[in-house]
Amino acid sequence: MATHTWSVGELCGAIRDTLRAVFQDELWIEGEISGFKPHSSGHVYFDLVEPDNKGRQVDKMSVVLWKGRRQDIDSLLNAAAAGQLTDGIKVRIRGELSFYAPQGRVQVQMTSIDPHHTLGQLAVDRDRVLQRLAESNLLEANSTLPIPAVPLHVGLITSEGSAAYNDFVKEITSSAYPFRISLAHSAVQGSDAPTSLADSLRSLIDLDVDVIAIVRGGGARTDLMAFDLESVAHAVATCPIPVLSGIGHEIDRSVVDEVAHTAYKTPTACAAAIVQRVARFDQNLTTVARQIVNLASNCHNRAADAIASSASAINDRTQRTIGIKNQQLSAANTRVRDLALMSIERHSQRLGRMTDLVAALHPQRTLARGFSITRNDLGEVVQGPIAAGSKLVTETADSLIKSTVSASKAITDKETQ
Amino acid sequence: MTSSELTFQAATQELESILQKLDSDEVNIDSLTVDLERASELINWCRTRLEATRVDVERIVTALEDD
Repeated sequence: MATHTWSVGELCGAIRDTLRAVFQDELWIEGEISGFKPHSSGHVYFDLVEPDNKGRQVDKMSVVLWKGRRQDIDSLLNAAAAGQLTDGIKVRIRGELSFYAPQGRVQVQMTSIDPHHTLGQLAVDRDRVLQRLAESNLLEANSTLPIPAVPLHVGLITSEGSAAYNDFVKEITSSAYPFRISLAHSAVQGSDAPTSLADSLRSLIDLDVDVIAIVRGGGARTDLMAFDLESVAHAVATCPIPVLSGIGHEIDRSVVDEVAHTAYKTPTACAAAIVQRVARFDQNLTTVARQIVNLASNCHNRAADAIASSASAINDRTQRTIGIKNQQLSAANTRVRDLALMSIERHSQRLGRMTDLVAALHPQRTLARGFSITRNDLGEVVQGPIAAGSKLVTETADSLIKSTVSASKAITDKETQ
Repeated sequence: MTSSELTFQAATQELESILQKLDSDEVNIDSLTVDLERASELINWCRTRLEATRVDVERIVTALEDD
């Protein structure tokens, strides 16, 4: 049964002595940083925690990094590109275990860090997240969404005013196209980043943008830790709008890059791809327009050729027809002339015959053959018996003979023969 | 009937009838000379008319062929 009563000072001194006896040298401790708090004095305070398998912090150890040591630690981290100390990252640190009597607690005074442990832990965590996303068939989910042909309404998730923001906006606005950028400002590192990124995604989904770009400048792995978190990756993978990532990397791709529709190496490259997509559509339109013009022109030319050909054929046929008709007319003309001349000839011959007849009937011809015409004293032609004593004048071809009738009688038919 | 009113057909018909009369037994010596003079006049008229027609036919047909 203990009877000795310790003063606080005795007890603190005994604990300090015991700790020093048991942990004589510096020791290595691994755990997750929590409650990271840089002090204005330059010292840094945080806790190293070890969550249980349900994520609850069950064990905790206070750590102090004195201002004088901090530069050495930062140099080690930078040399390994392991980023900076911040909440959530898993570290293996070296330090001296001590008892801080003014607060009555045990703490580790940090002297060094194993940056490769941190990087390895990140890789392990990353692989685990990827594995779970693959099991849920979420790795390819966003990349199967179609990107609109002309994604002019761009949702941008980044830290407003950052270099990444400026690079992205400059690339978009220097294009010839009327892009509209809806910015959803988000923390891209630190403890607020996961929630902020997910909230930004939701707000842009509500705006129904054509495409969402998540961009951030280059940084160490620990700076980009939020982009490896399952909650953020899940939000991107299940986003109903195509998500393009433009996260600067020094080493490998983040989980967000893996689940995004397409991953680009920089914010500028991400913006350029969006501009390029619109430009390609523009060029296609120009090409199609040119093809339409060419087709229409060809069509017009073919029609013009056909018309010219028809016109030529019509002209040929018309000329041929006119030629034939001309020949027919010429033949008809000749025939008309021939018939007319034949008709004239017939009339002429007939007239000739009648002329001959008229000539043949002239009394002079009869008188020339020896006939004569006898007239009485009245000048009448004597054709029958006449009284004796009548005076007659007889005309021959070349004389007139006067006579007196001694006797006359009618001649019978027998006598005339 | 004057020459200007005469037609070729009427002229030849008249000529035919004169010839028929001269060819028949009813020939009258007294009117014979008158008939012959008329026949001669008709023949000359018809000759002129035929020649004019022939010239017209040639002129018209040549004009058609030249078109």
